[in-house]
Amino acid sequence: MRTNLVATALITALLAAGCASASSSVNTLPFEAKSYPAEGVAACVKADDGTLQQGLSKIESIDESTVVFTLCAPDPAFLQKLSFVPFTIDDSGYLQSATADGSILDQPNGTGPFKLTGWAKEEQIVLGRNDKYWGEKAKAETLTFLFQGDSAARLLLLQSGAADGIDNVAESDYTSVSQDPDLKTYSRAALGSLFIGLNTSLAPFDDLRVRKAIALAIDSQRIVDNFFPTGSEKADYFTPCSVKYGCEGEPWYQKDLVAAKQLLADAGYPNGFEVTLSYRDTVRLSNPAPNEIAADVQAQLAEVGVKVKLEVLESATFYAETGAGRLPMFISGWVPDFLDTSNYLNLYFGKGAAPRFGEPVPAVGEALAQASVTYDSPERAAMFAQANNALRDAIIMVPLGHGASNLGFKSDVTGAHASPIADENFAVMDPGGRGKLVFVGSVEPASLFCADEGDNDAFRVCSQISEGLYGIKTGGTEPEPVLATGCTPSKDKLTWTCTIRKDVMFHNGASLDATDVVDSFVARWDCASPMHKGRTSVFQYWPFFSGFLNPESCTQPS
Amino acid sequence: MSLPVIFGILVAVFVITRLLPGDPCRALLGEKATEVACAAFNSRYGFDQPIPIQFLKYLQQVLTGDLGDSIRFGVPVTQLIVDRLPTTIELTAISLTIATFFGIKLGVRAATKRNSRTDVSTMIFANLGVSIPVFVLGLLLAYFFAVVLKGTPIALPPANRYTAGVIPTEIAVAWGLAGLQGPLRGLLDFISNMAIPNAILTLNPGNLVDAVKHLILPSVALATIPMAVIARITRSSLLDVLGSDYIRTARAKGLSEREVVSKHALRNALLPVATVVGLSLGGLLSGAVLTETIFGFAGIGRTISDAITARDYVVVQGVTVIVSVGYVVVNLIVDISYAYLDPRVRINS
Amino acid sequence: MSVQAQTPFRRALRSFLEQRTARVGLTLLLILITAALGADVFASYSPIDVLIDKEPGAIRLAGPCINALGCEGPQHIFGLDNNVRDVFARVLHGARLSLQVGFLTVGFAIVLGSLIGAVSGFVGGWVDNLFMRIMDVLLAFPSLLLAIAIVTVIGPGLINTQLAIGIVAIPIYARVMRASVLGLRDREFVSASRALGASEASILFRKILPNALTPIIVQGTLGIGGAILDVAALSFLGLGAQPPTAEWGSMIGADRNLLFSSPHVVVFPGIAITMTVLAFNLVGDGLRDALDPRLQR
Repeated sequence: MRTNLVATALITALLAAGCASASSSVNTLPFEAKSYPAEGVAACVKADDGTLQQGLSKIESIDESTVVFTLCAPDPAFLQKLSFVPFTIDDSGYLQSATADGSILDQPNGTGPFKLTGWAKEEQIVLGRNDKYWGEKAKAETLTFLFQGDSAARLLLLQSGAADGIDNVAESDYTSVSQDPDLKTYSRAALGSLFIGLNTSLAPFDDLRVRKAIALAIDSQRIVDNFFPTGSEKADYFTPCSVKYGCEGEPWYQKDLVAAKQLLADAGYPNGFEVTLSYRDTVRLSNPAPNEIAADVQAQLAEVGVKVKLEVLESATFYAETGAGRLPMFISGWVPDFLDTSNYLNLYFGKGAAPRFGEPVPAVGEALAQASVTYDSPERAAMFAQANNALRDAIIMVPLGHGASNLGFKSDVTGAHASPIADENFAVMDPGGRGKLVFVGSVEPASLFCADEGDNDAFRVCSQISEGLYGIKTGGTEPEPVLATGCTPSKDKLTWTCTIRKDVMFHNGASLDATDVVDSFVARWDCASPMHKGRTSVFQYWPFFSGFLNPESCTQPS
Repeated sequence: MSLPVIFGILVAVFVITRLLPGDPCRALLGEKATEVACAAFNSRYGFDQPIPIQFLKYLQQVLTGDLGDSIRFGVPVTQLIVDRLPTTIELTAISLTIATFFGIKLGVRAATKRNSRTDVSTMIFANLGVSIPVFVLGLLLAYFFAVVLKGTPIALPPANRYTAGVIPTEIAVAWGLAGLQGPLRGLLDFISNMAIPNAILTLNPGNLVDAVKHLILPSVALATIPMAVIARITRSSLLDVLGSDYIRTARAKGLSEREVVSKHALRNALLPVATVVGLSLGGLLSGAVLTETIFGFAGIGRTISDAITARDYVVVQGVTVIVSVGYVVVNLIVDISYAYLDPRVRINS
Repeated sequence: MSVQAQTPFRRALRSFLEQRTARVGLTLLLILITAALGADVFASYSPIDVLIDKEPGAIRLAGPCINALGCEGPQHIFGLDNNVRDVFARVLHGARLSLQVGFLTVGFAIVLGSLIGAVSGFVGGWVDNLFMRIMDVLLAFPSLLLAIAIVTVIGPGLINTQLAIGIVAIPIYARVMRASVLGLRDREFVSASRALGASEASILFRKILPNALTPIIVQGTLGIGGAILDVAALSFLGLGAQPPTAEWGSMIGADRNLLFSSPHVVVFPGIAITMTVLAFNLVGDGLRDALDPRLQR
C-alpha cells in the first residue's frame, strides 16, 4: 500500500511538473534526439599528407541537456571557438522561420541580458533589459548603440553628454578625455598587429638583401612612440607578446642604417630606388594613424635612399590588389578574431594563403599547420618558434607595432571597462542611476545575425543579445561556461560532451534545449540546410572551426 | 524630351558601377575573401554573367520597378529609398527654406545699400558660410552648441535625428493600420520617416521638439551653401530691376523707397531667384552627403556614398537612378513654372 | 553719336574697381598670389620635410611658436602638424596647389564645356539636342557623387581628383556658352559676316565666341572657389590628394579629427581656403556687375 501511495505521489508530481513546463514553454513538442550529419555522410576532409583536417565530424543531442561534438582532429582552441560570437545559440523554431522570411537579419532572438526593442537603420540600435534573464540582470534599463566613424564626432557625443561611452578615443583626444574630471579612459591591451608587406615576386624585393635593408632601416619604436595610442607596443614579432606563444623565437632586427645602405649597395642599388607603398586610409585597432605612419615610413626610408611614393587605395581595391599579389610594398594590419597565435599568423602565412607576399615560405606554412592541431605544450611553443624564425629569415614582412585602443566613459558609469577583444559587457554597467546607457561604436553592423558577420561592432551588439555555449569573461580573454554548464573532452580530445544549462529562455519565450544547440550549429555548418541563410550566407567565421557540409551547395545562387 | 535623358542616366550609372575597381565580394569580406567564397557570392548575384546580359537584366528589372536587393544589407533597394530619402528631403527642404529666406533678405539689404560698407559686409557674410567647408562648419557649430553651451537652455544636440533611445512610432501603426500593405503603406511609411510630419501626425509633441532641436544645426550648416548664391542673385537681379524704367516711374510718382522695392521691384527680381533655387538642389544633395555623415543622419546622400565605397552596385544603381530621375523631374517643374511666371521666356523659347 | 571716352575694357575695369566688394576680393586675391609665388621665400621649411630626429625639441602637433611673442626655439608660426612638418610652409605652398587646382579644373571645364555649348548653340538641330541631352545626364547626377564615382574608377591622387571635378563641371559651362551663342547668332553682325563670305567656323570662333565670353568668365571665377571646396570634400571622404602633398583641402579633410585637440592644424588651412573662396566669389560678383551692360548706371 505504501509503495502504491509513493508511486502515485511520484507519478502525480511528474505529471504536474510535465504540465507546468509544457504550458510555460513554447516548445511543446517532446524532445527528439538528433544526430547530424546523417548516417554514411563523411564530414571530415583529408589534407594532402593524409591526416584529417580540423573540423566537425558529428554533432548530436543525447537528451534535452546533453550535446556531443565529435571532431575530426584535436582542436586546442575548441572552447575558445565555442565562445565566438558567430557561434551563439538560436532557438530552432525561430531559426527555421526567421531564415525563411529574412527576419533573422534585424530581429534577433537570443538568451542574453538585453533584447532588441528597435533599430533605426544607420541611426541607432535600441536594446531593452531582459527581465527574464537566467543570470544576473542588466543594470541599465535601456542600452542604445550609436555609430560614428569620425573620432572628433564621437568625442563631441561624449563631451556633450549625449553618450555615456565611446569606442576608439583618438590619440589626439586622449589628453582632453583623461584630464576631464567628468570623463574617464579605459585601455585595451595592445593586440593589433601592423606590418609592412614586401612582395618577393616583384623587383626589387625579390632580392633578400633589399628586403633586409628595409628591415634594418625601419625604426618601429619611433613610429609607435609618435603615432600609436598610449599603451601600444613596438613589435618584435608579428604577434603581440601578451598572446601565448606570440613571441617564441628570435626577436626582430635592430635599426642599423649603415648596414642597410651597405646591403643596398651590394644588391646593386647604391643610390637607392623608387617604390610605391600602398595602404588603406582606415583607422582601426591595428592602424591608428594610417596617413601619418605611411608618411613616416616614407621619411625613414628616404634616409637610406629609398624613394617611397605613397598610394592610398580604398578598401575594396586594396584587398583585390593584395589578394592577387600585385602590390610590391604595402602596409596592412591585423585585428585578432580570437587570442591564439595561430589566428594572427594563419591567414597571412599559413598554407594556402593568398600570394600577398609573393612566393610562400614553406617552413612557415608547415610549422603553422602543425601548431593548429597541437595542444598547448612545449611542442607547440617550438612550432611557433620555428614559424617566427622562418619569418624573420625570409623578411616578407616588417612588423611595426601592436596597437592598443582606448575607450572613454562618463565618470559616473560604474562597471565600465575595456575588453581586450573589444567585446564589452554592458550588462554590468550602470549609467549613474539614469537607467539609459548610450554607447558609440565606429561602424554600424549590417545585420544582427552575427553568424554571418565579421566585424567587431556587430559582434559587440550581438553578444549583448545572444549567447553561446561558452563566452569570454567580462573584460578578459579566457572562455567560461555560459549556456553550457561545462564541456568536457574525451581522452583522445576528439569528443566533447556539453551539458546544457536548464531553465533558460529565449526572448521570444522558447526554452533552451539541446535541439536548439544542434540546429544552431547545423545552420552554420550545412550549406544544404534551408537554415543556412544570412545576409551574405558566406558564414565567414565557420571555417575557423570546421569545413562546410555539402560544400557544393555553398555556391548555388539563392 | 526627358526619356532619352533618363535612358542615358541608366546607362551611365550601370557603366560607372561596373568600372569601379575591386568587387563587392572583396569589399564585403575584406582580407578574408577567398576564391571559393567570392565564386559563391558572384554567382548568387549574377556578376559572373557577361556584361551585356547583366545590363539587360538590370534594364528589365528597372522597368518592372524592381531595383534589386542591397548586397550589403540584404534588403530591397526600394525599402532603403523609402527609409532614407525622406530624411534627406526633410533636411534639404528645411535648409532651402532657411537659405531662401535669409538669402533674399541679405540680397535685398545689399542691393538697396549698393556699394556701401553695408553692401560689403552683407556680401562677405553671405559668402562666408559657403567658403567654409561644410564638414568643418558642422563640427564647429556642433562643438559650440553642444559642448560650449552644454547645460544652457539654448544647447543643441551634436548629432542624430532624435535623442538616443527614441524611436518614433510609424504613422501607420499609430493610426491602427499596422496590417496595411501596398503603395498606400509605402506612402505612409515615406511620410513617417520625416521627423516633423511624423511627430505631428502621431500627435507627439515631445518628439516634435526633439526632432526640431536635432534638425537645427545640420540645416543651418547645409543652408550656407545655397544661401550665398541666392543672396548674390537676389542682389544683382534687384539691382537690375531697380534701374529699369518703370521703377523710375514709380519713384517719380512719389512712392517711398521701401514701397518701390517691396511692392514693385522685388516681385520681378525674384524670377531668376526661383531658377537658382531649382538649380541649387544638386549642390544641396552633394552638401547633404557631408552633412549627413557628420551629423549621423541616415539620408540618401550618405547611403549612396557608402554604397560606392562598399561596391554595393545594386544600391548605387537603384538609388542614383531614382535621385537623378527625381532631379530631372524637379528641374522640369521649375522650368515649366518659370515659363508660366515669366511671359518673356515663353515667347523666346 | 557721342565719342567713346574709353575703351570697353577700361570702362569695365573702372566699373569693377568702383565696387567695394570687388576691391576687397581683389585684395584678398593679391595676398593669395603673393603667398603662392613667394612661398619659398617666406617659409623657412619645406612643406614635406618631416622634422622628427632632425630638429631637436620638435614634437608632433606642437602649437604655434612665434619668437616675437616670446616663444623660444625654432620658429613655427603656424605650429607643427601630425607628422611634425611645418604648417606655415604647408599653407603657403598649398596656395600654389590650390590655385592650380582651381584654375586647371575650371580651365579644363571651360574649354570643353564652351566648345560643346558653342557648337551646340550655333549648329542647332539634332547636334544641339544630342549634346544637351548628354549634358543633362551629367547634370542629373549630384556632382559630388559623380566625382566620387569617377575618382574611385580612375584612382585617387590630385590630378585625378581635378579631372573628376572638371568633368563634373563641364555641363555648367556648356549651358552658359550655349545660352550666349543662342542670343548672339541671330544678330546683324553675324549675317553681315556671312554675306561677306566668311565660313561658319570662322564666324563661330572669330566673331561669336569672343562676345560670348563674359558670362563664362564670370561663371568661371565663381567656379574656382567651388573646385577648391570640392577637393576638400573628396579628401574628407579619403579620395583627394595623396600624402604628403601640402594641399589645403586634403589637409583639412584628412586632419579634421584634430579640430578640437590641435586646432592649428585645421584652422590655418581652413582660413586659407575660406579667404580664397571668398576672394574668388567677390571678384566674380564684381566682374558680373562690371560687365553687365544693364548695370551701367
